[in-house]
Amino acid sequence: MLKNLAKNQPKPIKPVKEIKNKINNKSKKTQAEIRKSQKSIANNIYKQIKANYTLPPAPDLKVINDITVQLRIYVRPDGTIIKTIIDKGSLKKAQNDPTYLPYVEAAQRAIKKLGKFEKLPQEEYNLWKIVDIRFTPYET
Amino acid sequence: MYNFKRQFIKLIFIAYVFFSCFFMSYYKVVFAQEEPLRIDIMGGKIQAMPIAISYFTIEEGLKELKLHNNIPNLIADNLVNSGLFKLLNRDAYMQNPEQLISSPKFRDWRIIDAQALITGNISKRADNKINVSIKLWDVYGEKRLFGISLSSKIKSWRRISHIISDKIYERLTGEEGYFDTRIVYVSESGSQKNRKKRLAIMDQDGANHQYLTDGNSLVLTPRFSPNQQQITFFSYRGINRGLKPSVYLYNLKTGKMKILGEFPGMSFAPRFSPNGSNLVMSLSQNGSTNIHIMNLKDKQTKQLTKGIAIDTSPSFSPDGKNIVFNSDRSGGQHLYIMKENGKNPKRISFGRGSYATPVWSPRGDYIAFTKFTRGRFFIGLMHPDGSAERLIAEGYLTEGPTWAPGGRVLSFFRQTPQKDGSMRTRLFVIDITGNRERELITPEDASDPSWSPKNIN
Repeated sequence: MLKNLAKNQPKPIKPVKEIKNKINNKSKKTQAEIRKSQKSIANNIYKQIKANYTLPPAPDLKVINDITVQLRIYVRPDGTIIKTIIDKGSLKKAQNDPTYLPYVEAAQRAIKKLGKFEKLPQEEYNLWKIVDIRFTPYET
Repeated sequence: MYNFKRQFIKLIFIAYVFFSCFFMSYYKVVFAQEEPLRIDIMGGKIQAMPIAISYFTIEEGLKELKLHNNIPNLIADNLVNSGLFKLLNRDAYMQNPEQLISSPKFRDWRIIDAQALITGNISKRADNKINVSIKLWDVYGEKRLFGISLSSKIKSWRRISHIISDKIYERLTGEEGYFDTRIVYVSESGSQKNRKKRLAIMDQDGANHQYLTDGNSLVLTPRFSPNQQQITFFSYRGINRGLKPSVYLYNLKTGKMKILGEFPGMSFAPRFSPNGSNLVMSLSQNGSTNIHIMNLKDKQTKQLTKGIAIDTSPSFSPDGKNIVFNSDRSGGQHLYIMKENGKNPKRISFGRGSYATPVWSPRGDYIAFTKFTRGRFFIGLMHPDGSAERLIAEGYLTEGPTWAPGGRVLSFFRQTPQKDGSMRTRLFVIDITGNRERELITPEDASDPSWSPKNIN
């Protein structure tokens, strides 16, 4: 009886199959649709990061300079940010320029404060599992 | 046999090419979508950084001095007064100083949104000095940003607090701190007709105030030397002995002052060169006023500007290569820059109104000045090439900007008419954005501030 029940139950989908299914679903999308999804997801992520991004103290002097900080973040399917990597260029600059370091820390703080993205489409995880973020503190 | 081998190799090759092509196209279709999503975050919130400064732990024998409260309070005052930090209410702290001796529980500090946390300990040394150790923590980064330990006599606790404040400020902003500095200024008292003007000095927060001159003779335009040990100023001091009003030097260590050479005319508006070995000033004779430079070792002077115009208020660039000054050589009073040897004078101000008292910022990126236009006085800033002029403070009489070390904060004085017809003259501090203006509390009226360089002793 138990054996029969076990036979009738659908087998759990293996992670590999899950990925393949997602891939198949994805590949059915046109490039235009993918771009549209990317845009919508990027907009969603932008809003969530921006809500947590505060400029470091004493920003005024650097308004004239062209400051950018680049980070790469890795995200779990549930939206949790699991890893933040500072771009090599930003890291090198932060090590050599004490006035730049607070900008890197402010960017990292925004990500840490956020911790987890909300309401990102699970079925399009591939589109947001890795996010490159460029912070430009001052809009010119 | 040979043919079979060839066929086999051919087959392998075809299979290799086929699978390579298949994999490449598969990769393109599938994995291309896993390229990182790119996002640009433009601009961010501008707000004072919320910080927590816990009271310090202290050795039993020192408790009655209350340094464990006074030192963190003074650090907090400095940081909050800069306008860049907001002290979080200590009632909301979930860990007490004793619990912070090891590492803080960062989660507890994130709850109140502290972005940085300062903890500290005070102990007594065998030589009766105190040892103050502090740690600065990044609450979200969950790491120690830096730690510092300083020793000094108990009476120097304010100085220790200022030095620590500078270190914290520098680590969090990346810019030079200005808390361990002093301000020399002209203290004014008495009626407008019988005004008493004395040189006075105080810490940048108004503490340790003292008068340097007795007020029997008028003093004006005091300026610090780069090593903080001397002050040069203009005074009528020797006028009773037949001396012309002149430039004097005051030694802060010895309290002695001396006249800086005897000139055929009146000398005024002195200022040190960045290395402290020269003094630039104006000399007035035969109806014209020109800028001269004096070597303080051999007292040799050299005239830098020539002509019948009034050239005054010289101020060196931080690298000592250029001098900004004001002159009426073009009719109106404008700002000019010349080489340190007086060559290549070039006008840099072109706006409406009169420009005066230019001062080059310690960073070299700005020149602060006084501007008079439309019946009002302003404190303004421009780049050394004359670009990006903007006015950051105004008033009935607003004058005499001076830079704090770091070049992001200035002090100036403002005279305001009172209802009873008298004038109230006070010192103010403002940052280069024109925000965070606040009054510097002085015992009496105050004018002509000069901010010292960082204390090097």
